[in-house]
Amino acid sequence: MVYTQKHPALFLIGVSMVTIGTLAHFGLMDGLINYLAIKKMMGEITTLSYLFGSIAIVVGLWHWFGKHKEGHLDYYLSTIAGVIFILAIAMGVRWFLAPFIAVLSKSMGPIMGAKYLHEILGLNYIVLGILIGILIVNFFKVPTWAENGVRLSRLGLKTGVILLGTLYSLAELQQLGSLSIVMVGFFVLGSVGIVLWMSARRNLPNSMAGVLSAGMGVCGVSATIAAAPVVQAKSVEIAYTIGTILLWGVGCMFLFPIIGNLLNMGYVQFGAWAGTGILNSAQVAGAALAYQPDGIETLKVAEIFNITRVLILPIIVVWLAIWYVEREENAPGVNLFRVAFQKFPIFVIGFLLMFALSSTGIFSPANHYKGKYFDNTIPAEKLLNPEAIATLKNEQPKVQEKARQAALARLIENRKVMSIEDDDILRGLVNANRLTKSANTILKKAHKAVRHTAHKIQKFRDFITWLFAFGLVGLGMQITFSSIKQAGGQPLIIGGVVGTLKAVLSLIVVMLFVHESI
Amino acid sequence: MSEETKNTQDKPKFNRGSALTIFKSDRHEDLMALVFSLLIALGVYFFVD
Repeated sequence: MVYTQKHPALFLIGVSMVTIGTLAHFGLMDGLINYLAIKKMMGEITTLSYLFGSIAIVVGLWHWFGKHKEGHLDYYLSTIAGVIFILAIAMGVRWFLAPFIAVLSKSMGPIMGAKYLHEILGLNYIVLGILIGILIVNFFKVPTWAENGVRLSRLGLKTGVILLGTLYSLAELQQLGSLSIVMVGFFVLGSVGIVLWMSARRNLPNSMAGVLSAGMGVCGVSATIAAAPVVQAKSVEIAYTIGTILLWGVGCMFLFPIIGNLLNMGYVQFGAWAGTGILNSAQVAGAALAYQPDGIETLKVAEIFNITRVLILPIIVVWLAIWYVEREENAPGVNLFRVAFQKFPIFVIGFLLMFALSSTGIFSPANHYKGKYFDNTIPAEKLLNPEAIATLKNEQPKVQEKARQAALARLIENRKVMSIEDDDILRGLVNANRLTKSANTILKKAHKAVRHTAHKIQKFRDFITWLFAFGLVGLGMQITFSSIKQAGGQPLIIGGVVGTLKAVLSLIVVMLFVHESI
Repeated sequence: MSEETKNTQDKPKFNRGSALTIFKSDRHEDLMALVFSLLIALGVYFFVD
């Protein structure tokens, strides 16, 4: 089978990208850029347009005019067309469509408190990218020349998750780790148990129950695929499970940010909720980025929870293996240690490896925290002004906790954050959403003044943003209405009940017990 | 959905990998993700100040 299509599309996309890069580079798009308020993206608009446009032109010419024979070169180089196709959509959405919708939404004025319609509905580049992917695959069909490359979107997501490891600090991982192990452990084991119990009550085959419990309990599609051979699931059962997960996951991905905004949840709260309550890894990332498109704090928290959940996968696989062997007389003998080893996701090890590398301080100063290091020797113009100090003084009575009171008092006295500990405490105060918006803005400004971004970590953030944008647009192109329709019947009922229980109970737990910062 | 789309989805489109990935298995995909991320990390380490 020859995968490369003789088609001018890749070349033409490349020419369009280089044209956009050139127009932006020479200031010929300044009017549009100012109207859309995307000046801060100028660097990536020119760099990425030139880089990927050039690649697309060169490879596109080979696609168009080259002679293609079956083999590795044909197989792998044909994927470039799909990759550039997805990237072109992601670029168009991130640079033009999402800012345009934001401009329209802002022109309508805030409609709920200080939030605009596009913020409440979560209409940012991530959500719009996935939606466009869904529209393309269901109404227009992914072009044949791009089909092979679209299958690389999951690779992009996994690479992004591994690189996220560079952004975590040891303290952060320890603190969130213990919280996430308790929450995720409870909800994963609970979900698997309830699905198995309900399936037995409704007389579902053991193979169907096993694969559905893994999908609903752990991390969606990957867990389904990992558990399928253990419980000898048939293709149709795998498809039913994936359909149920997608239907539920897509719904949650759009619904969670709206509920989060309505409840005014902090980043940690929302990240913990999304990481626990949403089934599929990709949709966890989608919801987290939809909730906080201009920052990465929510995504980091959600991914810690998601990774904790993924780490439980081998345990669930072993559990299902034992459960299945006990119920099926003709089940093959299972070597439990071998199963656990075979099913362990390597990308989780990659995440831990990146975290270990980052913890040595090779990417940023040793005391870095979320890729930023503390240094409060700042120029006078960066000290808080008298108006800001007056605002904070007015808010002081709202702060009850002694550590927070002391940190706030030191900030007011010195007009700058005095230590890493104070900075962490004050960020906790911001994330707790106890103060007014203006006071929180002042605290964020004080935080930014003493935290300096390590350039290497900033670069990792850029890579992560684009890998996730790429992966999620591609994910949209794999969500077909037919796969969602397959969720009909018993699996959908069981999945719906368990998914709702998990989402509601985890929301209650998060709102009651999670208030602190990272 | 058009009839053409339905028919295309019924036929196996790829003789390598699966509908979701170009790689032989999840493990191969994980390993490639690890290789890519290490290459990016090396690039960032050597070329970013």
